[in-house]
Amino acid sequence: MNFLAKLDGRTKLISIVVITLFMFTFKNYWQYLLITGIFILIFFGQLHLNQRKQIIKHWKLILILPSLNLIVNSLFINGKVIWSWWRLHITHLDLAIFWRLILLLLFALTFSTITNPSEMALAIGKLINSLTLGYYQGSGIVLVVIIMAAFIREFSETWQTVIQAAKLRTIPSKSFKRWSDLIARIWLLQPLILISLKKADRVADALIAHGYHQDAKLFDYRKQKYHLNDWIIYGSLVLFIIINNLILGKL
Amino acid sequence: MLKISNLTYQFTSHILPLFPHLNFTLHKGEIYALLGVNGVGKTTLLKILSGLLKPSQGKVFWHDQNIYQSKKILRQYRSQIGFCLQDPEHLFFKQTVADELKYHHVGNVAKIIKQFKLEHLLNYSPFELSGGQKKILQLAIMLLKKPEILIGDEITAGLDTKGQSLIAKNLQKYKKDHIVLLVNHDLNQVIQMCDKFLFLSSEKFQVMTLTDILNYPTIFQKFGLIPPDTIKIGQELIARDILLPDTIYSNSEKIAQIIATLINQKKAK
Amino acid sequence: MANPLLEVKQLQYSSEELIDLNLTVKKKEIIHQVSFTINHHEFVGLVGPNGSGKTTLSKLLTKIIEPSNGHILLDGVDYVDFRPSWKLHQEVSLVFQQVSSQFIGTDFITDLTLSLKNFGWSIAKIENRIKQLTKQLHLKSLIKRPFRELSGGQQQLLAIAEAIAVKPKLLVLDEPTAQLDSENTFLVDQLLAKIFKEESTSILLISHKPIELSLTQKLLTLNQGTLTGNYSTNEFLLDSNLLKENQLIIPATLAIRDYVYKLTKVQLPLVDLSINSLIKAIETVLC
Repeated sequence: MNFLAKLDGRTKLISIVVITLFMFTFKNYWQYLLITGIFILIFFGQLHLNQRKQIIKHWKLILILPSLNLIVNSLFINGKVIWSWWRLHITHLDLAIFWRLILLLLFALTFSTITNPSEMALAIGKLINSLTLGYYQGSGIVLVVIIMAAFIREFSETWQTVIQAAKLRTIPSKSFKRWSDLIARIWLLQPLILISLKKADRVADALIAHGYHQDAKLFDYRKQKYHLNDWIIYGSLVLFIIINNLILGKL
Repeated sequence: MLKISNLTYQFTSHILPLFPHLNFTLHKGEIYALLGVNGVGKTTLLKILSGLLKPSQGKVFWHDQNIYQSKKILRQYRSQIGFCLQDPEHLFFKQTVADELKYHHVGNVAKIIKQFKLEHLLNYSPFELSGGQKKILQLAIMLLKKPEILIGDEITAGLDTKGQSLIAKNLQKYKKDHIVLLVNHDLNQVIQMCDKFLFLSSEKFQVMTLTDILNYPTIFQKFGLIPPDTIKIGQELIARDILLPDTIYSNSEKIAQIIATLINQKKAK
Repeated sequence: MANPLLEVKQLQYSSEELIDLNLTVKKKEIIHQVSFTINHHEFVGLVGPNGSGKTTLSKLLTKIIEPSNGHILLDGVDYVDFRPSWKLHQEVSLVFQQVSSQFIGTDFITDLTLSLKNFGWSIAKIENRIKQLTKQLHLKSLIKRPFRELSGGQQQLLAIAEAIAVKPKLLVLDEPTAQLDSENTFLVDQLLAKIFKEESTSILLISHKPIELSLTQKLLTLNQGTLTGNYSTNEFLLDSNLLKENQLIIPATLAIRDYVYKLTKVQLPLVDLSINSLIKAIETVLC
């Protein structure tokens, strides 16, 4: 359980990016199978029940988005056709993309459940600090990321309430006029945007009141150090890439 | 009649359910108050009862039909609910107050406008109204649905005295043929406005009438609440033998009347 | 003391607000020619109906917004001379009505550490201050828990603790308990009383709860952006007409006194709004 939780934010961020890019080099199904296997191990071995539930909650997104993509892709023939019906043709590439998308969504959701916004923001700040060889000491970028992440949550909460309110205001016997309903939906953006603007205003006010300013050295980037677990992850990533390329080279 | 059977709710991220399994029934002609400390799940319970949130366990029966049985029944049920949100802004999606009132209304718009004194606000955007005016507009919108059940989350919070009595007056009128359920932080107001009191904590649930409360005033402390001032004053005066123990003192006027009588008696001597 | 802590001179402000998606903009709150002073270690209350400009005034006093006209002086120094602005925020801090939007960190320690680093405090100094503050205000059980797990009242206690962490000369609170129930309001009010007793800071409390306002020493009334009165707290709170004029709720103790007077022409001698005071008054009149 603890291995994942002890990881540095940077390690989580970099691993996700590397795996994502890495998947684009895959040419064989066994590679996807291997990644899926690793994901299953993480999912059942490292996540709490509640974290798993939070990921599963998004099953619609995980299935619908790749499915839509699959349908669109199947309209075009890109490679050897393995199955076709009417105008739809499924190729190996279509399946690979479908699988890859599902994995990407699962990894992204897992990342967001095991990392809190400030941890992620700090990780980004530290990465920029390292990339600029310590020149960047500021806090602007980190603060912006923290605020954005907090704001996305606020935004979705506001949207949920707006939708609920709209449900209560719509009387079903009158809702046969589907078209006008759809137009009414667009107007739901009004409360969403106006309320969100107000909330953003308040956050900005609070920041000023707490004296936040560009040049303040809020974060001690030097203090953020890697631990053994992080090196293990980096090591296995490198190993994984090397083995993969060796085998691929031979094939 | 709204019957709640074995109902509870549990957030996916929590280990325990919010409140114990609830069993109670709400009837027409009464204003119910839901009381409990912050975070005990009052708003969640209101959402469940208005058909917006499926309970983790248990059922809600409206006219003997489980409201969460099918989507169609749920939609039908929601059309009979008037739900006033804590923050009314979430339901304003028209450009003027007049348009807001006309949207999917069932009741008589002109009458409601008069009842809630909205005449001079009709051409304003709902977003320019003051906090109190927004609350009043929201109640007017909800009453125009002619709902069977009116549910209010802090509908008088932040209102001035005039606004509060306007809302109280309309609720008294409305409760005659309907169910009204309120959450309100101001217990002094609750005691004056409501007929039945649903006390809720994470372990206990208890339904009481005003008489029950006055006979058993420690109920508030038992649920972690500070009792309303009139109850405290009544208790203190009873303890000093100024008021009689078995009488009901629900509001300031009643207490004042008895003290006035005592003063007049003393003057006569 | 010769000089007041805060001098507000002929303050004016107007602003605009977006009201729909057609980008219609309306003039919002306006402050007209507001002048007043706050002394060193003084507890001042500010009351007024909704939309009278209280929140705008609180933002002007904490330099979140700049006035269109007029001056504010802190210990004789004009606000415009505090440059950059954050230098002023060490001297004057603000607690907001909306509880959750004032934090950036996930818990008190992270949030306060971030906030104090703004003012260039060293880690050692920050840790010291946090230790001292949590001991003084009895907040130890709350400081490591994520804000999301705390009640609105508990969060507000921490927000107040953060606001006084910088040892400000003036603490402004904009309806800190408006969103809280009476249990949490009680906790916040207790904390404010303690802070005023133990710290040398002056406090400006915006509120419409009479019981809460009884913590203060004097009261300013604001109506439609204009200051309409300056009272001693006791004089104001025991006057039902003044309470009504400023759209405050009449507390039960006062309502009973007024009703008894109406019926008997006998005035119960209340010294404050507390229940004890009412009981004593009734006993004196009856014995």
